[in-house]
Amino acid sequence: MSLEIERAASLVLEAGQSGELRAALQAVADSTTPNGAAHYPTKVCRRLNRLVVCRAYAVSVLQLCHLINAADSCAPRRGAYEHLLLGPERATGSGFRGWIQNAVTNRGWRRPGCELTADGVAVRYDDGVFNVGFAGMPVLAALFEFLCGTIGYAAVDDEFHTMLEPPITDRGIRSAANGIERRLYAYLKEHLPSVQMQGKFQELLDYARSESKTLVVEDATVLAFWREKSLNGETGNFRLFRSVFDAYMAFLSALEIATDREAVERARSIGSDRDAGEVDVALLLDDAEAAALWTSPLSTLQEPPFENVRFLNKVDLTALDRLMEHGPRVHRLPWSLLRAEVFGDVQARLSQAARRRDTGDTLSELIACTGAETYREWHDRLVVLDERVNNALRAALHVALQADDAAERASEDERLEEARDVAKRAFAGISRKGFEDAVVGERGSGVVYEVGAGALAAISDQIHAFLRVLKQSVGEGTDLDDQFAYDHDVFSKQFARIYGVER
Amino acid sequence: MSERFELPDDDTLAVAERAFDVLATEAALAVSIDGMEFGEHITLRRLYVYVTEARPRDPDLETALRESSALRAELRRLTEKIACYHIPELAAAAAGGVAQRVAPGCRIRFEESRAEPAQTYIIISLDDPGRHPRWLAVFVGDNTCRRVALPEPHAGLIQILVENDSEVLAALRDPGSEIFIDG
Repeated sequence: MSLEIERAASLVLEAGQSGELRAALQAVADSTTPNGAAHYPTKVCRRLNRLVVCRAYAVSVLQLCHLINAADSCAPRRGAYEHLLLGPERATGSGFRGWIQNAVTNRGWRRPGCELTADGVAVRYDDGVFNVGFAGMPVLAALFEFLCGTIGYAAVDDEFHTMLEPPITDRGIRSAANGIERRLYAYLKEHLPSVQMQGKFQELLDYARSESKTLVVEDATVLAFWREKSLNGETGNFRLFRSVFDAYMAFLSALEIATDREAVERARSIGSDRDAGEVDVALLLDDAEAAALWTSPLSTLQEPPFENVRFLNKVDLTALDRLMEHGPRVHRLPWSLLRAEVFGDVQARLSQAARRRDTGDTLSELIACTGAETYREWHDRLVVLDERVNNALRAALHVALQADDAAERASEDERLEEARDVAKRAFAGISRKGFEDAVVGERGSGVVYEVGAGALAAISDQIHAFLRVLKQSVGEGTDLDDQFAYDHDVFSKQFARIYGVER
Repeated sequence: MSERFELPDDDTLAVAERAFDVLATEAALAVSIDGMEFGEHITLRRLYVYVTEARPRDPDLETALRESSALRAELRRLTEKIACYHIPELAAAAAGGVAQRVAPGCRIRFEESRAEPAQTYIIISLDDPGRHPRWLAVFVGDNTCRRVALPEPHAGLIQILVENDSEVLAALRDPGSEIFIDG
């Protein structure tokens, strides 16, 4: 195992996952349709990850068992529920709705008890009715695949087989769910140890704790922490500056979430161990995300049906990822973001070079940060990126406006006409997928481009806001070039220490 | 820039620590790690596609199947679950080799090609002429699987022309093999 791979492995293991667990989750996320598209939308994979990481899977396992009952009820033959869970081209709520509706139309229900509703399937038992919504089915299908990859298809199928023996009862369904839960609990006990045991949070906390009973997190804290901890083999996963940056962003989020007393009380009152006052962390995080003012607009562009339009190319999406992921929270640590972008990139290439066993010259150049993009260059590139985002926004508006009758009626407004011309020219200048002439006026295309334009506007706003924060920092006396020169020196010396070449 | 907080109480810090655990673990999950060797992880869906879309090759999966008896057993179990027809192994082979395989609703015959003696027709006939099965999978010995995409039926018959030394033909004529057909 090379040094870098060893480090990467420690990154995973320190985050509390075994390689096997990660591979199981990754295999589900990497699953593709025959035409190469992702089988599960990103949101579904993130949901699955949260269920697993928070060990908050009990309700979903129970829902899965009810879905299996419904799938078996409309499958071509008894027991062949796999066709529903593994069959649809892309795991979407509408895909599952279509499959079930077709099955029921063509074959009917094989036994009484199930009924299609507007939002899903109602499964009736002697002792009650359970509803499984179409919208939640993609997550349940992903969970099924994950279970098969971890506790094994045979074990899962055995539980379902027993559960589907007539008469099918709510009690039998719950018994199968409990059996699967027990197996998953045992698997995660071995493969998902608590990160708390590793004291990572405590290390960040201790570093941020000041003498005056306050916590201070600033750019200097992040840099100083990395300089000290990246050399400490025992703390492992703090070698990469980007890991330290990500850890501090998670640290700030966690503190924010935990200090929202109302949300914590809500999560406590319906927590999994109410009497002990236990807080349901999955619920707390879900609530925080739902209430958050910021969700990465890139995730909107990468979800169906928006992903079918290439609003931005892959290079631009990658370049914007870190800035968009953290949103306004990153305004608190602007220089840390620049360091993660510029010197984090050098360190990533350094890791790759070490893995490839490149010659000493190449390594030395990377350690010396020779040719690193300067902060000014990065800043200017962001400005250019913003222009491209705005161009895509205008082009998207062109399609949205063409589909909008109201805009047609208002065409006497000169300013609107001018805006439409600008949008039309922008559209004509883009040759990416989804910007062909044929999409203009296409039935139903308006909403996709309207929402896409909204996401692009949010991206542009975030770029502008961050540039303002940088400008403010510069106004406070920190010059981009001076700061780069200082950081260049700090990072090259630290890389030399980490990678064993003292300067 | 600086972010200052009043030091939270112990309860709040305990909640923050748990939230941090989840966020940090999720962030690590989102990191793509090139060069990591966690071993090939085959999802059940990939096995499903392998059987039901019998045409395309999947060399990585085939290697994994060769190396793992557990994975072959999983493929066998899944195929049995989703197949419409099952032709079990023969109790005993007739002298002169197996000329046909039969199960309720389904029959498979083998006929040498008159035009090309080095080739043989595999002819599948189903009692229900309205059906159009799309794949056939045959398991021999230690759950080794051979699969074939089936063409459109003509006059209720599905015909496939194969070389006499083809693995599929050998597997179908193996009295110990089990055959599964979609429906």
